Amino acid sequence: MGEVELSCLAYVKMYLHACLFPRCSVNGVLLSSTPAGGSGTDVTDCVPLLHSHLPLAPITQLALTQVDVWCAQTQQRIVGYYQANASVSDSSPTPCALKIADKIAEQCSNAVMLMVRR
Amino acid sequence: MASVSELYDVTWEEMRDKLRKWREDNYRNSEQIVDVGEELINEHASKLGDDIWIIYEQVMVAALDCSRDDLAWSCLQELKRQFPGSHRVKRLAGMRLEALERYEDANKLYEAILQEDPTNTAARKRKIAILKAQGKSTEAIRELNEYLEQFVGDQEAWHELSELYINEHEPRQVNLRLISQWVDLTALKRDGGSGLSPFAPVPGCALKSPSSPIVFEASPEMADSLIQTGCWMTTTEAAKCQTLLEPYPPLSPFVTWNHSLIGFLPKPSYLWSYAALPPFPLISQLLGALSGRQEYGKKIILFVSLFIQHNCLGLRVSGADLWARLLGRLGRKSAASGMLTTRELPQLGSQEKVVALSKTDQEKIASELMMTNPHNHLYCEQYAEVKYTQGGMENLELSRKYFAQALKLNNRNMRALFGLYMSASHIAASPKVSAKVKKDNVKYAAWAATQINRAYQLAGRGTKDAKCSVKAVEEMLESMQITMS
Repeated sequence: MGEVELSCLAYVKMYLHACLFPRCSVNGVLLSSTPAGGSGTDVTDCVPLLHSHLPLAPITQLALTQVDVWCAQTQQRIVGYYQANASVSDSSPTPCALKIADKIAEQCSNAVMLMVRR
Repeated sequence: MASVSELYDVTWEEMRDKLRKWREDNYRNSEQIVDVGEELINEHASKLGDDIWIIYEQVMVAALDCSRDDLAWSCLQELKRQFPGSHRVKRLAGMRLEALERYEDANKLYEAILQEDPTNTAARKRKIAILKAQGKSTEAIRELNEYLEQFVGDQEAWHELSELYINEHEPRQVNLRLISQWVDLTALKRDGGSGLSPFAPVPGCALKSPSSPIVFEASPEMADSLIQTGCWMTTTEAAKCQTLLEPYPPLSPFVTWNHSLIGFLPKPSYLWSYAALPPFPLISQLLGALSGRQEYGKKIILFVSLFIQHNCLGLRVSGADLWARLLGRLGRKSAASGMLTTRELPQLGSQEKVVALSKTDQEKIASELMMTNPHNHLYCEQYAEVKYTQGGMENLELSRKYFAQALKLNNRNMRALFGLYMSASHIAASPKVSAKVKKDNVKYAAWAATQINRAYQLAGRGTKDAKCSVKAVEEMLESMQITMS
């Protein structure tokens, strides 16, 4: 497993997203604008997605499709997934997080899953 | 630091009225409540009279939310002094212990309350919230189910149960939620909004140290830009916020405190914009027709209206016993108000064929949900999402119907629009359906796609980089179309 480099923009966005909804679980995808290949992963951007009913399917599907299209337009690729659980004491990945991360890992080697601790 | 009254140039009466409004609407804007309430308590206590006690209670809960233990403690002391031995005050003391993560002590307190008064629902709810805060969701679910067997009409509890089930990935059980005793006429004016209520746990650890919480000092512009970049991707989320009539998330009796404290940011104002609900054409027509009939209570009118709506939706009503229960409840209520007797009710019932479904409790209760709370488009849409997640052709069809219903109730609900598009596309794409069903669903999907495109065009007017988002949505819709054929 290679090195993961997190850009400032991605970090701040994730943090602010978690800040904006302190009482909800939030999730989102991590993007990279560097081309595929190479050992490490370079996360340059992220897209915050949901802050309610994370395990429900339709909106997640929709959002991921939209992100896909946008990435194609802006020459980025989805390299990971982040989630911040609502509870301070529990930052283990939920089943839905694992599922989405698996899906992403299928498409991209060196995929990253970040669990944000509040 | 300038006081609230100086900053906003308000008098103490206005502050008191604002607190009352927040209390009545059950908002969870704790930082504001603490600011305003603290000043009222410190400066204007003598002028408030008897209002002060309820303000102490409100401010105390808000202080727990903001980890202001000093303020919470002083409010609690005042209340204890005035109302010694009161269960309500004991419950507040328990909540403070919970916020300090002293769950065993809190539990003991609630046990004591329940021993003296076994019907005290607030103490039972707090015990369930403790289980939730400790992460024991299965026990919490079990306790909540037991509670709901006794108190079937408690809408907040049903909602909480559904949230717990969703997080446990039990979509089938989610149908159990949202039973409500009866539709309140006020529901016509506002959505419950509880679909978005944060039932999150609270930070116990922060309260242990009285030092100030970590507050991320971000400028409003930064927060705004986050929303701009993030939110067009989740326009559905934003749209859902905008369809909420309430500017703040509601405070539930199940509030817990193990969430983090970061995040007391200045909130971007447009997230809290009010959206005017379009008139429900059917209900308004009906109300118009029946308004002349004085002998019918408002609730009967709603009851009739929801029948007609359900006829349109082709929903089947479940068993006769359910029916009888509802009628009985109706009869009791109207007997109390002297408006209508049960004898006249069967006439309403005969309009709809009662078909006993051989499904499980969940489906029965889901139908009861739709009968008792038909106006809440958020509940409708959330139910549709659950059905979609469950998968399977029947569930997909149901989800499409419910998305359509949600749209009927509020045609600005973007999530429902997208949901309709997706469920219709999936049905049309499935090889097992007949040609006619396929054609119909292609039509629905096409209609939904044009509506979505139109909405994005309208939303994107005026901002340059929205063009990118509009294009992305178009391409996304096209790509989903490709999978259909």
